Amino acid sequence: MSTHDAHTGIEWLDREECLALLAGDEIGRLAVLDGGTPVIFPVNYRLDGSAIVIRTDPGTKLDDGPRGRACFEIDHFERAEHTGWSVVAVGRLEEVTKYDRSHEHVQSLPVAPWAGGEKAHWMRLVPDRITGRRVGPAKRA
Amino acid sequence: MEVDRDGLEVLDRSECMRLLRRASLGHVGINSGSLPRVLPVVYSLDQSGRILIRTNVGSKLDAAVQDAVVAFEVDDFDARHESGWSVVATGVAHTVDDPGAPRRLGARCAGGDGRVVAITPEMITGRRLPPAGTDGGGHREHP
Repeated sequence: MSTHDAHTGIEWLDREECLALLAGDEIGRLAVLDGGTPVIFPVNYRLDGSAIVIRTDPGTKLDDGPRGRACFEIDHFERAEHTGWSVVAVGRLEEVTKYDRSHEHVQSLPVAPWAGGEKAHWMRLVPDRITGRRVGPAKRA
Repeated sequence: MEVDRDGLEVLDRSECMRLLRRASLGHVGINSGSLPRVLPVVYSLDQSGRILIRTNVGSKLDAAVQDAVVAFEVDDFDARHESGWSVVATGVAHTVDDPGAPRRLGARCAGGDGRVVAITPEMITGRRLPPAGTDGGGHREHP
């Protein structure tokens, strides 16, 4: 169940709702540390269970990400109504190589980067913490 | 027009600044105790091109931005046309020591308890992906 902070008007979303929002989107922002400096990339993704699956080419995400920590964020805001929500997942970023048991399954996911490039490396963020917040009128069921 | 290895249009600094001025919702990337974090924020640009955001004293953001290098990202995507743009700025963040700063940020940056953080962009990069079927967007092939 989500909880509501009467002081700030922020509603904290439960894990189930966060996962539903993650499942319903396809583009988000991945943050990793590149030698201690934070870097943000917009990425296309698919949710697989609670893992965020992306595809990439060799570069910062692959070089600094694997076995490292990463943060992923999606949001949707209605500027005119001052309402919106955001979901943040924090966890371990790992490459899904051919030695991974779920390699075939992960490669079957419809992760279709809008940008060009081969993007032959599949990576997944395994979250150990997922938090979500909503501001403005509560969603009606 | 310059295009990167992914076929995305490379935006120059003035176009990046124009886009930064147009939007009001961005994402701050911080190093929070050796963990990367990305947080959505409402922001505003001042006349010298600094990114101003409001924060709460003692918050995760407040603790992580004291004279630290942070990343700041703004984007606008259109899922229907698989297009959009993003701008990423990197720079040092510091607390603005000016009592008038929160007021000048205006109503859209309301909230927080009056602390304003400024990011001075040192590096700015931007990319644009035109809608599929337009010039520059025809290279996309999904496997």
